[in-house]
Amino acid sequence: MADRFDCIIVGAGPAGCAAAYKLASDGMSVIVFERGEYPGSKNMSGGILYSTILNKLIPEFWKEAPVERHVTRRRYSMLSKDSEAALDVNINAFSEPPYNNSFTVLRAKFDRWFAKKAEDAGALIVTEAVVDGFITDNEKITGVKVRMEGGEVLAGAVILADGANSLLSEKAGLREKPAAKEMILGVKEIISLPKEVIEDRFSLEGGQGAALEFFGQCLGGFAGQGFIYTNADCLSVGIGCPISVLQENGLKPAGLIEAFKKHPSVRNLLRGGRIEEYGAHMIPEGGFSAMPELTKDGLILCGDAGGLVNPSLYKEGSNLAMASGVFAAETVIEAKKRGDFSKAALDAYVEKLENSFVLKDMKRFKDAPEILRKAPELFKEYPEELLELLRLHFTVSEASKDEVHGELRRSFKGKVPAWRLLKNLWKLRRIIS
Amino acid sequence: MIWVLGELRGSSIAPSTFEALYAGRILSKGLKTGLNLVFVGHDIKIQPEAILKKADKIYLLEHELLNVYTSSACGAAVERFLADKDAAAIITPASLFGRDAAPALAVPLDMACIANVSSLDARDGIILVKRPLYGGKIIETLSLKGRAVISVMPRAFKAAEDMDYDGEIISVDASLGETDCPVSVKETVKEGGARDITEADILVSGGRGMENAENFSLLKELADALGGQVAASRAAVDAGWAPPSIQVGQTGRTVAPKLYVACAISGAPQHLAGIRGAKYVIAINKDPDAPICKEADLCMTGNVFEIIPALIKEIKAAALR
Amino acid sequence: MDIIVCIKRIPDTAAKVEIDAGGLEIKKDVPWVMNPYDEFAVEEALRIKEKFGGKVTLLHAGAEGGEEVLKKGLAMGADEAVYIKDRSLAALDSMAFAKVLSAVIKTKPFDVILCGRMGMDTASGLLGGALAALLKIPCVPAIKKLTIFPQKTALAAREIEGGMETVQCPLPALFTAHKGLNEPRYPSLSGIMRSKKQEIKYITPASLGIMPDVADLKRTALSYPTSSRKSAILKGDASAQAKEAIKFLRDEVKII
Ligand SMILES: Cc1cc2nc3c(=O)[nH]c(=O)nc-3n(C[C@H](O)[C@H](O)[C@H](O)COP(=O)(O)OP(=O)(O)OC[C@H]3O[C@@H](n4cnc5c(N)ncnc54)[C@H](O)[C@@H]3O)c2cc1C
Ligand SMILES: Cc1cc2nc3c(=O)[nH]c(=O)nc-3n(C[C@H](O)[C@H](O)[C@H](O)COP(=O)(O)OP(=O)(O)OC[C@H]3O[C@@H](n4cnc5c(N)ncnc54)[C@H](O)[C@@H]3O)c2cc1C
Ligand SMILES: Nc1ncnc2c1ncn2[C@@H]1O[C@H](COP(=O)(O)O)[C@@H](O)[C@H]1O
Repeated sequence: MADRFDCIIVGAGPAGCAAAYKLASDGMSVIVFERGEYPGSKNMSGGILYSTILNKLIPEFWKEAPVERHVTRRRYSMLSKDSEAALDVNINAFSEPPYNNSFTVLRAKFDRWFAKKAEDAGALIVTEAVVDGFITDNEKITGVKVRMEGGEVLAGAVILADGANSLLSEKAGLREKPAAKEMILGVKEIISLPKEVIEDRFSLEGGQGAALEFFGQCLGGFAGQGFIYTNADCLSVGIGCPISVLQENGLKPAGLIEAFKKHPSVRNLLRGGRIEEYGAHMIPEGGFSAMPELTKDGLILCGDAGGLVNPSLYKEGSNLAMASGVFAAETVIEAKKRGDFSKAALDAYVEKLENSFVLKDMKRFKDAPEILRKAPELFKEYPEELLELLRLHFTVSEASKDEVHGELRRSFKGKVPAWRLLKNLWKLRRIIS
Repeated sequence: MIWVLGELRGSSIAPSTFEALYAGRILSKGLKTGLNLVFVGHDIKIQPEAILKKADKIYLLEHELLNVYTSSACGAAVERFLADKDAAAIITPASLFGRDAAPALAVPLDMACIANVSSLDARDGIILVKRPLYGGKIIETLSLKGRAVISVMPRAFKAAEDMDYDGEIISVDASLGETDCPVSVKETVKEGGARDITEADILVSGGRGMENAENFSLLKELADALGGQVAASRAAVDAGWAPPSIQVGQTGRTVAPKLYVACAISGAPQHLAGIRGAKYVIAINKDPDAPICKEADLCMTGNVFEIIPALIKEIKAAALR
Repeated sequence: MDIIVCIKRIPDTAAKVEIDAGGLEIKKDVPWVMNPYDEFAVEEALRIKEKFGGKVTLLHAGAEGGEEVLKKGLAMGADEAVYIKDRSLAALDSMAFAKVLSAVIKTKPFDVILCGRMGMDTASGLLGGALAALLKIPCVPAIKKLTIFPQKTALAAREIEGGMETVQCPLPALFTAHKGLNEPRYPSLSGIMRSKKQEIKYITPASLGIMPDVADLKRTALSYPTSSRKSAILKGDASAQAKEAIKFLRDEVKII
């Protein structure tokens, strides 16, 4: 006889842990399967945790959770081949609780902590357990098959929180294999540097942290962006590049991050650091229009598995993952009360998402992926032009200011078709805010 | 008095004994006391000249029941022998023999016990030891007040050379009875030929990228050209291409040769744990980003099946010149 | 048969281990696992029990966090788990642990005690031998094969320098498990679920009337090893690389 739970959760990432914590705190019987050796062992993310949801779930979690730094400094910079123009924002008020709800974290540690919280709340967490498929009854999902001895488990509902590369949502028939253009490959390294060096180099004090985003020519002219986030005594350094771009140009992930790290502006920030870890992971950045159906009889999709990543400049995934986990848990709790786990009942989940920032933001930024795709100039010509203009403007010479400005105007007109620039800028606002 | 428990290999003295003697001498100087050596066995025949100038007294503790080593018999014999003698510390090699004997002595003699020590010092009656923790990722320093049995890591200490000791060899009958050896050896199988890799000066080690057992003969060829021995990673041992006795790493042997050549070995932390003591490391790997390359002095990148033959050719050519 | 298995908790061997700000401890937020050799010990214990019946008891001594490794052993199929928990059990002195464990074992019936060959944290391999000496029972270290006979004797094959030897001894006896002894099982799902309900029995050293004294042996520092490897990378043609390597062997290693 297979064991039976109120809810089975697949995946102990932010989405799965949030759902498990909520369900267990409400007294539901819940089991989580995680394929990693421990929660977090397979997870790598750039590492900014947006925590409005977590702070509601576990108030003042930062007092006990393994957070690295709270983000007070954000820097957006545009790279040309060898130069950089940046907007640097430093807000000291973010050093007060709740720290603007943005923290850098190392997921291997954070996920382990979060899973432990769920466990303490009463959830059963089983690691080194790969879920292979479903147990069904007339198309309705009633349980899962786990790759281990005696691995059949039944439940009222299954929450799939198995991440970007959710094979199970394909098995459940909720989505096709995602198109290459809808997936970004994130490549990340952890580079260690002494704490004092990090604080000096990034102008930080106490537990303050910085998030640096890089645009333009990060990857030698190919579409993609880069980032550097400061942790306590290491940096998260990474890039993101659409899989389609990698495929079309025969690029290797390791080569791309090397290209980024070689840029003079980046190189100088990493100087003296030692690579501790390297990893690559998918990010679903198809946006709203690429989202799969999120429910089915007995099944709910959460987090990355549901394509819930805000494809704007914020690159926000973890908060959406946790929000969707909590909504899924609430939905299962209600479904259990009514004894109805049908799709119609579980669709309350989608409604909750619609009424929250999750789907509102997903909709607002729905065109962002397409806009970026259609404007390859953003990654090469524009940054080159912008920095060329800045170079001309700042070059010290004996030419009069009038002459310089005339030259600037001419050079600008000659290279960038103005209407296209304006159109692109207009569209770009949809990515930025 | 500092006592060194020596290790015998048949009728010769194992090299690890001389390293233990070197360590013993550090303590005897630091604690301003003498240095004695004791061997345990039956009908022990050793060359006196190898040892006479290296310790004050050399005891041969002999008994029929010590013909084949067992920890219980050895422990009982040495413990009874030392019970009425002064012993500030007992040093043993951290070989299978020494690691096994150490606690069997420490418990009845009521001494502390520290295994696998990589450096030693003593002053003001206090012994300072260092030992690697967590596969060599961290070094721990301990201070020890009082008496202890200490086993010393292979090759962490030099071999003791002759000094101005005026040694004396004394044969003693160990007091032992049948009840002292509950463990009896029924059978011994020697693994063909290979010398203990922890004692080799040069090791040529192969990993998963060697592809099969036959290709290990290529490593043998390189080892022969360099005058060394063959070793292996766990992946190669698990695949059955090499015997477990030559596995290097955390679950294998800790080696400290002058030169370690890692062929088609990626350099997993558990493997690196076994080679931290190597003086020089050469890696041969097709992947320049393999972790072993960062832990090597020299990394040759490319196919082992091309690089090793080329290397053998050049070594032979250089030898002729 | 009453079988006792001693298990140790160590940082995952693949994890990065770092020294904390105080300089005398490692950072504790690494993943901790059951010492790999102890998995062989638990597996062997379960096999003996499956053959002869009886009970497998797990023992662990430590300052914190031991529940997880004990639960893993229970999930594999052990019957009972005893945790000797005390703040004083934080040092890595196998002899001190042996004293504490022997005090507990003396209160229990036992035929076979199994330990791991060594802890992957200190690479000491002391505890088994010390425990056997304290209990005055035979010890067979680093075994790769174990056969238990109903008339309470055992035959064990163990690794020795340059080969293997087979030894015989009466029970009760202590064996330390080497790799190759068996293939440890993965816990089954029902095993995992059962283990979550099994209670761990806690004991304090004080209740055994022992005061672990570690005053003689004190940690004074932790440091990182210094590596002076140059990591020069050669590329290109095999014979050109070989020529470079020869230079290195001649000028630096000085063996040619
Ligand atoms: C390089 C990079 C940088 C990023 N930067 C940020 C950032 O700065 N801020 C931000 O908010 N978001 C960021 N993200 C996105 C964020 O990481 C994800 O949105 C978030 O982790 C999604 O959480 P999740 O729980 O849905 O999935 P995941 O975190 O991917 O967790 C899924 C879990 O399921 C497990 N699993 C998968 N399949 C199975 C199976 N069959 N059986 C059992 N277990 C299974 C996996 O092992 C994993 O633990 C980044 C992502 C990447 C790759
Ligand atoms: C608890 C525990 C203990 C362990 N103890 C040990 C131990 O004692 N010793 C040990 O070694 N391991 C140990 N391991 C295993 C360790 O983690 C690694 O799995 C193992 O070391 C890998 O062996 P490898 O380097 O030979 O194989 P791989 O990691 O597969 O590496 C093969 C390498 O060969 C290269 N290569 C392949 N083909 C070629 C070619 N034709 N030419 C050139 N290069 C090529 C590849 O680039 C790669 O770098 C332990 C693991 C655990 C979990
Ligand atoms: N704290 C402990 N609690 C229980 N068993 C232990 C403990 N420490 C060591 N052991 C056992 O003793 C073996 C050898 O450990 P060590 O002497 O630390 O190398 C381990 O493999 C365990 O079986």
